[in-house]
Amino acid sequence: MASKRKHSSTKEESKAVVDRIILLENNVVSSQQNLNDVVDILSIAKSGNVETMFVATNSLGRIFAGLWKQGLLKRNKDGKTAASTVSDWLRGNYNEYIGILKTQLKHSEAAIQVAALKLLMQAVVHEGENASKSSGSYEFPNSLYLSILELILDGSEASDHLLRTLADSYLNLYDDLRYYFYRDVAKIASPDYDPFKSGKSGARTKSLVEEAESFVRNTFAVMGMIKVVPTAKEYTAFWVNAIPPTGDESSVSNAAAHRKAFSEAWVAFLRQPLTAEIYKQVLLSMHRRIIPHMVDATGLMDFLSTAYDAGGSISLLALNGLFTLIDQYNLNYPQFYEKLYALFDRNLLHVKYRARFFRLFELFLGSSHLPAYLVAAFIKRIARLAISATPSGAVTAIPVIYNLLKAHPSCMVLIHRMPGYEGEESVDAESDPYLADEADPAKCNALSSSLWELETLQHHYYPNIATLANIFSEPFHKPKFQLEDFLDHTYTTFFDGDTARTPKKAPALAVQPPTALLRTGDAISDFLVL
Amino acid sequence: MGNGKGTKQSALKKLRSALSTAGLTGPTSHVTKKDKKRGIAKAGSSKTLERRQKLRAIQKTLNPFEMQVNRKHLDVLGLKRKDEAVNVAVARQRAVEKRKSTIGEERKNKHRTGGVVDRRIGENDPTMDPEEKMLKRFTAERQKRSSMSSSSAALYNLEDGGDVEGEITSLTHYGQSIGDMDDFNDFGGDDDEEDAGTGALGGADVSTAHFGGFETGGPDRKRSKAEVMQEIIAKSKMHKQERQLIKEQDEDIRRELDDDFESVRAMLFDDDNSKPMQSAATGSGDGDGAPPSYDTYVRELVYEQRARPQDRLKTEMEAAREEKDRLERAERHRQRRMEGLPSDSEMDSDSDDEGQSASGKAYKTKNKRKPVADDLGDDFAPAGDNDDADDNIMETGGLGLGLTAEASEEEEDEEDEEDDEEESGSGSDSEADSDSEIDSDQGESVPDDAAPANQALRRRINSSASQSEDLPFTFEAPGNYDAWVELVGSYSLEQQLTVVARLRALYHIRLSPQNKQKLSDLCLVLTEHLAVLTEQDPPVPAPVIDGIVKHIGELAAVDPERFGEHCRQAIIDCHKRVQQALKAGSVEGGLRASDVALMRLFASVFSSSDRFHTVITPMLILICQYLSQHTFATLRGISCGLVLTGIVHETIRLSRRFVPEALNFLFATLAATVCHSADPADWDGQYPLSRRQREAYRLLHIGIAEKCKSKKALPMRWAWLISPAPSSEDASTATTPAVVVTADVKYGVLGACLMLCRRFIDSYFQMPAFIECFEPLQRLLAKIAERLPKFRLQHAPVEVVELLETTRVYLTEQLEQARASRVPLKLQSHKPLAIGSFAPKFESAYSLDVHYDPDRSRNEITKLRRQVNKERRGAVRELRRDAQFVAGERLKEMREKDRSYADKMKKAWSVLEADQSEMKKLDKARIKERKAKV
Repeated sequence: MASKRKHSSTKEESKAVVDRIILLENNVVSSQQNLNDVVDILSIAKSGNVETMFVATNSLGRIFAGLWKQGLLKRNKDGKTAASTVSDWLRGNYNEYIGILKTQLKHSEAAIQVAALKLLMQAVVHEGENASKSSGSYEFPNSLYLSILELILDGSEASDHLLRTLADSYLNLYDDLRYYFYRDVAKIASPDYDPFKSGKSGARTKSLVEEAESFVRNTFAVMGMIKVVPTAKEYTAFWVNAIPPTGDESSVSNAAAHRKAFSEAWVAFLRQPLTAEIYKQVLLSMHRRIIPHMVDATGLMDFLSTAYDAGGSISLLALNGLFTLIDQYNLNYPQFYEKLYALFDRNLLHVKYRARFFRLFELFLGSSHLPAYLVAAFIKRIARLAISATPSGAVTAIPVIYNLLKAHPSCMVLIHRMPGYEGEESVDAESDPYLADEADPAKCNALSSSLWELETLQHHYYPNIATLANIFSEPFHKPKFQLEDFLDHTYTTFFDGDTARTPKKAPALAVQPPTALLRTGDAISDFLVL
Repeated sequence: MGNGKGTKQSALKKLRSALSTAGLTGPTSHVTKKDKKRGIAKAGSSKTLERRQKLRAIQKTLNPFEMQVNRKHLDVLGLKRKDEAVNVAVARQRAVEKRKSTIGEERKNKHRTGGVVDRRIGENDPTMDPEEKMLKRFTAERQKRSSMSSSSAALYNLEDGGDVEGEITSLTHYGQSIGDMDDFNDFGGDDDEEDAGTGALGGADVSTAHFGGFETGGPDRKRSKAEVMQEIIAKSKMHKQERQLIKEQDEDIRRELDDDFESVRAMLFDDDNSKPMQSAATGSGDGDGAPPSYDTYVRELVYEQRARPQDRLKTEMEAAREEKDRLERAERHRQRRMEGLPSDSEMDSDSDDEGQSASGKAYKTKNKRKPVADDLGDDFAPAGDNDDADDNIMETGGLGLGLTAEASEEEEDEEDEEDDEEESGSGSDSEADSDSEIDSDQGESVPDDAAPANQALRRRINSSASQSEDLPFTFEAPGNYDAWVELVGSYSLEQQLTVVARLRALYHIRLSPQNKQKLSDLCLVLTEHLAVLTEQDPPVPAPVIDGIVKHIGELAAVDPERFGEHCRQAIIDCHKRVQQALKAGSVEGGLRASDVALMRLFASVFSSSDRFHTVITPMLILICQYLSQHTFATLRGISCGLVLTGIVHETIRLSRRFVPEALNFLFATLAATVCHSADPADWDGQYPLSRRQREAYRLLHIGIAEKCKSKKALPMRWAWLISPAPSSEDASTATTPAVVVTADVKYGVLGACLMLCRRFIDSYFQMPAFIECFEPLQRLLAKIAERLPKFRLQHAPVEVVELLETTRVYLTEQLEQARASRVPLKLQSHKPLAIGSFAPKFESAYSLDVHYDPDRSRNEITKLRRQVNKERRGAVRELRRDAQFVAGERLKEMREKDRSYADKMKKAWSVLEADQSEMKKLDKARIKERKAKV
């Protein structure tokens, strides 16, 4: 607790205050005559230190819960009676209490934030029950809930702990909270949402950009933590459950309504300006977490195609989601292969996501109906990249090329060209017709080139790669490679693999033992003076 | 006997006629008793042989039905088989005889235990005459004796000497010492000169005494044995006398020689032994004083080392050829290893074991002679020389004078690393992150290991201590590095080299089996020492380093296994450090100057062209990981990178293997001089760089205003590689990077890159993808040449400008050549394979005897089964024949027994009958008498 850090003198002080709070609370609970003491507790909650504030708000929570039960906070319609005066006064105090809680949500201590959230959620229950009772049907106090969510998501102060509590103890457990959460997120994120309508956060103007950033971050964190996906037929777990909702179209218990809320929330969220990191995170999980549960997945098409056009690793990541759309949602994506071809830039074999990319790539080029020129263009491109790649890149590229050649025998001319093949009179040895900088795979003339790169890899310094590259000189009798075995290699795995065993034999020594550190004529001695 | 001429003769008649024509039967010459005595019977032995042969011939020709002709499956021209035609009768006879000698004998001795085996010569040979037997036995006895007398035991038998004195202590025969009758010269009678030498029997002896001789010879034949023996004795006496004469002459000569030796001996031992010699000589000459002490001589001679027979020294040509062969063989093995083939198979076939490795052999041939104390002479520089050398050091280097050992300073500050770690988290594109996913506990353990190593490397070399101090000549072999430091801590670096040389001579591997361990210890210690020396700032002079490298190179062959393991561990440690640094994204990169130096050492000590090498391959991976993932933000890092690229070039110099990382690094470093770090499109080419790396490379960017101070290219220095010492960091944080990156330095780096590029062009120009790999370089060089001259090239050192130009021209030439010579790939041109057919195979000449089963293993099994059956049948047959034979023998015995019993009974009956008849006669006579009386 925070109070532990205080000095002993303040400790004694706060102890006295706590005792007083308990005394006041007991007064209020014992008889309605002492309701005025609520004001005292409110003032303590507003002004006191962390510990007293905590105790005060808690006791207020208990007091107001009791008052809700007694119905004292219910709005009276019969005008100027004593009871209505009391309830108005109490409601004023109650609003003040809610206001205190909302400020506490932005408190620097995570524990206070969490406690405030819990009390606010209690308040949501009480208000909801009250509203349901008065109206006789299911009611959800969404205005309060919306303001709570807005405070949490917009605030840059929201701690991980708070977000986790929100997701784990409320959103993951209660369907109505989740439903309204999605709806509210969509509402907050929508461009025509006016934050000033609520009128509470006047400070909001000061840093809209900053707020948007924290909103995106917090929202993504919470939405990422929600483990329940909208797949159920019926929803029954409710936070506000005085009167269970009826099962009509737009109700909280309806499955379609949940899906709609989920879709709308995501679409609205993706419209926000995302940071690069969150962008990647979204793209990484999109095909698993988002697309399957969307009402209309094609709505994500714009987002994904924009991402796919962005280039670099973003494109690689978008590929997965895009593929899911093409594959399962019948998306027609023009010039898909041209864009795929463009992804093969010099970074491809060096980036982290290359394993993921090549898994998909194998799928894309798995069709045997692809034209040979296209496959040849890809093969040539991969080979070209492999000669400047690390061993881990080369060890991915070789099986990919082998599998492609195996699946498309018409591309075998790339590694074996004889005169008279397909009407060629003779083999033109003079120049390489391949155009490395041509963006269109149809025009790059890859099919009339040769894969000298692979022959070079047969002399790679790392013996395993050299051996692997030698398969192109052997008859193509081997079955296709399982790509999985080759994707996750790194320098470290290579190094560990080579040094794991203790050698049995003595290492071979040089024929001529050295007579100096630098040989005469050594490359190093050209430029280095010992 | 009748010699029937008719063709229809019975077999018996034929046999008889054949026997008579062969002269085996029919009227034999009458042999009298006297003749027999004289030796006709002796000639009979040869006759029996002859007879037997004749009989065999008759047997062979007699009955053609006894010949069984074995039919052949295939008629092979010129092939002769033993079993083409077998004489069944003969074979059966032979089998019966064999059974007689084996089973029959066994049967005879069935219930016998013990007994005496008669081994007397010829006792069981019925064809030998008693005379022959005796002669053979005598011969054997003589041989035995002569061999005994020639053996060393008999030679030095003192008892033999008794003969000379005339005392008869040895065995005699007819009053003559048997020992003197040592060859058969004495035996034969007359003794020709030429025969005496050879020890063979004289021609006359042969003609008279041998088998036929007695028959044909005239009067000689009649000599009795006694006469012969007498003659022998006379001869032997004569010989004895001759030998004694020769012996005396020898003695005289020997005495003369001894006298001469006295004078020679005096010359031999002129120094230390002269006094006793002289005294001995004078003693003998004067005849007074001490007698010539023969015993002392003998004792001296016993302890004097004798010359041993030695292998013939090789001529220069032979030695050269051997060396050439060795080199050729080593090169052949290297080639095989380069192709990834095991070189061991070849090694085994070679006579010498390559286990000691090629260089080990060189070692052997070089030091044929046992090293002795004189060997040290080469290293024993005169005291004055040593002093001079030390003085030189004092003048030139100063070598960390006044630096004392500093211990326990942590050079890595943890905070920096943590900061960098956060940075790397954001730049997650690069592979460094995926690579650096090592588990945290491993990561934590590294600094613990590294700290003492650092400490050790930081050890200062105290060179000032004792240049005047004399070096002792013997040392204790250092077992570990601490011992070494204790040993040489007070000597200068040059003296340390001498110490190493002396240690190597002292603990030469031939001197003791334990020295192998000591020398390999020394090798490891030197490796560590090299690491320490290369960390020194200011750097240690090159000759010292080279000297140590030379020693390591030669000592590595002592125990390559241990040395290799040590090096492997060094690489693994270094990898851990580098990986840790990459993960942390630290600027220093975790690589030390000593690591670089050791890697350079490994590249030349080990056979770096091997396809897979337990040290070199991990080392290359480590280097490449560093080159491709490290962020080169300091001059030290870039220098390390360049030197590492040089090491890569050294390892692939022979094998010309393709190392893309080295090219990427070179191109990126070249590009860094002119490309703008902010614009990624400017860095075209095949070298992927992260934003972070690009920004770090800004260090090398040659700005517009920058000018070189000197017109000469600045060479890189080893000191650039050495990480700043923590002490200096504390002292002056501002000047921590010792070398300020001025334009000179940048041009120096540019020049180094160009030189390395040129080397790699040379190595790779034969590569099929040479064009693909080096076209980016061409563009890059064009860009450099285009951008630099505008404002800066006039400031650049002339050498670099020239180098740039020549490299460009050279590369263009090479690329043109490569384009012209490149042909499309034909990787799939394999030997055509036959198309599989399912048509049944048709045999034009099918035979039941031939097995057409295509299954090889089944065929073999059938063959084996058939062999087993055949063997079993043969064994059963043999057993049956044995049983038949035994039954026959038993029957024979039974018959014999019955017959002898019947005879016995017959005899008894006849006696009884005779008695009875006598009795009856008597009775009758008595009755007659009685009747007559009556």
